[in-house]
Amino acid sequence: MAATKSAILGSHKGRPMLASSPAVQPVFKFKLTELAARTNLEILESYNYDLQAILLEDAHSLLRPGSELCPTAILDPVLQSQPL
Amino acid sequence: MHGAHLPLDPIKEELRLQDLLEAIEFGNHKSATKDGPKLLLIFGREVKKGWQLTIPIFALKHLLGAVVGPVGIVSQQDSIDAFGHRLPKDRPIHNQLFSFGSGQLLNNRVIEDELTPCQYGFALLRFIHKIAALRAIYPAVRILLSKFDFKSAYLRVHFRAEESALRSCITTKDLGGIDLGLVSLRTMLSLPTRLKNAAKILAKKQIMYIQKACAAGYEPSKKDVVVRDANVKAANLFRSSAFRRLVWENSTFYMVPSTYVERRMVALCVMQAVQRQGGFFLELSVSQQWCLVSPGAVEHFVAGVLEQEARALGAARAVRATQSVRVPVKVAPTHAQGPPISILLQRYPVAPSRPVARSMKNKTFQKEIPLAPSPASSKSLWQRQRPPPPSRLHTAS
Repeated sequence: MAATKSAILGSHKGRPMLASSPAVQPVFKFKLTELAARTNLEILESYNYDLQAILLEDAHSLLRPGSELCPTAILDPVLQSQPL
Repeated sequence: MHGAHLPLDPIKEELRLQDLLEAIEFGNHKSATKDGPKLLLIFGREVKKGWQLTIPIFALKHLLGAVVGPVGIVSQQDSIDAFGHRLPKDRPIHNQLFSFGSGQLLNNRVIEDELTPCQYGFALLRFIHKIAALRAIYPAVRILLSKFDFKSAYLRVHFRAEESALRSCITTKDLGGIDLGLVSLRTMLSLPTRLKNAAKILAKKQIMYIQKACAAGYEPSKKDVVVRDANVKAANLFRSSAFRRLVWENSTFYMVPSTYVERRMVALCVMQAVQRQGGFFLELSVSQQWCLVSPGAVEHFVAGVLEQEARALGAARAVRATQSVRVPVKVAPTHAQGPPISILLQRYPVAPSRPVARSMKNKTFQKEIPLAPSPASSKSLWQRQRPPPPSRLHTAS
């Protein structure tokens, strides 16, 4: 029984993610604090307040537009027989 | 190319900067300053999710194209907690209709002809037809409809980086905390993106519910697995005999009108009964390995199974009752052109009481009961003392 439990819990932790690509932590600090605001200001100043350049710099960043979408192939097991 | 696009009419840089400085000086609406801590809590969650970027307020004027709007808070429809209790719910608003010196509001600058057309589907129509069909089959059973809030349950879509990341900024001025500027990085989902994400959520839930197992003290095998698949008929859903018996014993609570809390308690009882026997609720992961399911998902799954079983039992009873006592009813002339109506009577109608004949033979009651019929009514005594028809009439069509 214990071996079954440990095997089950181990497999639960090691479940693969459905995301298409490994995500990279963003450069900004996302906290509602003054320290985070200063840190973000320093980053903006280093890029001459060009937010677009920061957002598009890393292809795997969570801040990059499109990172919230996943490939439609993950829907195939469920929706391949759907008429719509 | 990804990202939400908000086409705007151009504005002179001097006017935009003037409006921005006025907006920073103005601060926020009174509704926001009254409920400052509540708004800070909401904004803290949005920042933590990456929807808003915190910067000092003075840095807003350095961002190209930034527009600041005052913040308010409004109460919207109530929410509900896990136990069915109603909770008041507030929603922050970014007022982009507030006019500053230039008079060029952000919402008025939107070029509507360039916006993506919003196309509604047929989901609402299908739901209404489904409800009407269910009501015809189950006249007295409460119809429950689940709703998934994809916007809150999942992610917001990013603004397009080169133009829209700076459209709508806010400040936390006078909210009772640190005065900061918040830059919106994400917005509500546009329709195509929302559909994709909705389908993704649906796919994840389907994958989770397609294969689940209830194993009691032994290794799960195909024989003992409880499979819930849309393609499998109801008779083959539950292969585990112990689990099937447990569901059958508890499904009667789902056949009577009950509250959400009562049904939740029944589902919890079933779940705990399985766990007391050393059983697990498992699911087959993508990598074809058995893994434990969270308690919330188990409860939801058990409630669905109980409801499905109760629905099957109720449908069988309704069919038997319909076949036994369904009588045609004469239709009034005004409705003669409509479809034929049949009313389903009670299965065991109450027989009319018959004390009249016996009491008339009894000499002791001869003085009390008039032998001659009343002149006000031409009906017989049996017809006058007949009880009214049963009040619970079930319309079958």
